[in-house]
Amino acid sequence: MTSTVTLHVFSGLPNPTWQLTPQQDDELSQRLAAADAITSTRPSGVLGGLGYRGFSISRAADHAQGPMTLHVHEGVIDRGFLQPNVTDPVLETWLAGTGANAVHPDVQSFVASRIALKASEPFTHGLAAPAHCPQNHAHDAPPYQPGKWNIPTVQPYNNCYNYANDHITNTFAQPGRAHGKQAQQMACGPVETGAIADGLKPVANFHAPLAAGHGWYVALVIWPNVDYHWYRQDNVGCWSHKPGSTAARNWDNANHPIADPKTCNRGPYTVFCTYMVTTRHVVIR
Amino acid sequence: VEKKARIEIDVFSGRPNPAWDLGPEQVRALAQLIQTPHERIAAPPAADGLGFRGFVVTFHNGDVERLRVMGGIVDDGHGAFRDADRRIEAFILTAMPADLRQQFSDVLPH
Repeated sequence: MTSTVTLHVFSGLPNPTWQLTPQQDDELSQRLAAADAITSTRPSGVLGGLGYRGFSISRAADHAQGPMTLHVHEGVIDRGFLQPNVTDPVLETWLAGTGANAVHPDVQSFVASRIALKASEPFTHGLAAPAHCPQNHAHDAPPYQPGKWNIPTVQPYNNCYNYANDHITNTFAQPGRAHGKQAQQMACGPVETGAIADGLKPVANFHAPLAAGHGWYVALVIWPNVDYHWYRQDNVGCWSHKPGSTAARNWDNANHPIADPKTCNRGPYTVFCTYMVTTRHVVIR
Repeated sequence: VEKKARIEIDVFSGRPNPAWDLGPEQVRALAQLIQTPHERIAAPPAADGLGFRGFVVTFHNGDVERLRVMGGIVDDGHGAFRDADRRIEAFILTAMPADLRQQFSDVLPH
């Protein structure tokens, strides 16, 4: 019998519960084995409360690795009183993904937004006021799911352009390459031309409503003559990105949440080029 | 099998990172610097953000061995060790082709 996952979110209804597939169960074991950053923090969800309170994972006595009960919430794996807790910033997002068939899409969106909120919380320290995400007007805007990207089989082979388009190609996709229009110069014009060849459309801002099937907002910035970078607006309204082969994240170079890529800290990518709209029909390589 | 080494500047987001291969003498010298006993420390957090994120050294001699050199620390995948006096980083900077050194002079360690 594989591990059972329970999403703690309801007050009146029974919480959604599902069984991991054998493959997911193996991946869970790998993820738990890799989580070794000890913390003295306990997730608030173990104490109950209203709304999203995390996931519990249980393995029965007949499981190949023996019985186990864990609670995962707020980036912390609570292992009970006999073992220290450890942190894992992406395990909740991964667990949420395993329950796609067991959880109503509205509840999935709600849980994703709560996880994203918590993920950005540490980076609000030092700000004059709590960060507020702008409203998302794109029906298709993807959820912030770093767990989908920050795994060994995906992270090294997909870049900011893959991430902005929410399309894993494992080719380190380049704007325009799929259509023979890859930029030769690292300036706004040539890179934007490549992206347009792939199917993206430049827009003045990210305020116009985009109905279902009409995509979501991304933004192009340039490190003059050196490189380009992309951001995307997630369904919570704040923006996220994936710098090269490093992990996807929803904070900028100053560790702040990203309300607008035009004004966030972008390190050497000093030139803001344009906002664009991408869709599921865009072809990149 | 002769040991080969490739050094990547982990610096780009969109384009593939720039990289170059070391000559045989340089490979031997760098391997010797790395094999010198060092103070072991806990692995640092993963390099992140936009801009320079360190040098990734990949040795090939049948097996592949990969290390990240950044900020006086070398992460060898099994933990990390201190790069005393930043000798390994200085060696890499010296071995870097002049055009790369010039192109990234604003973001590379001095």
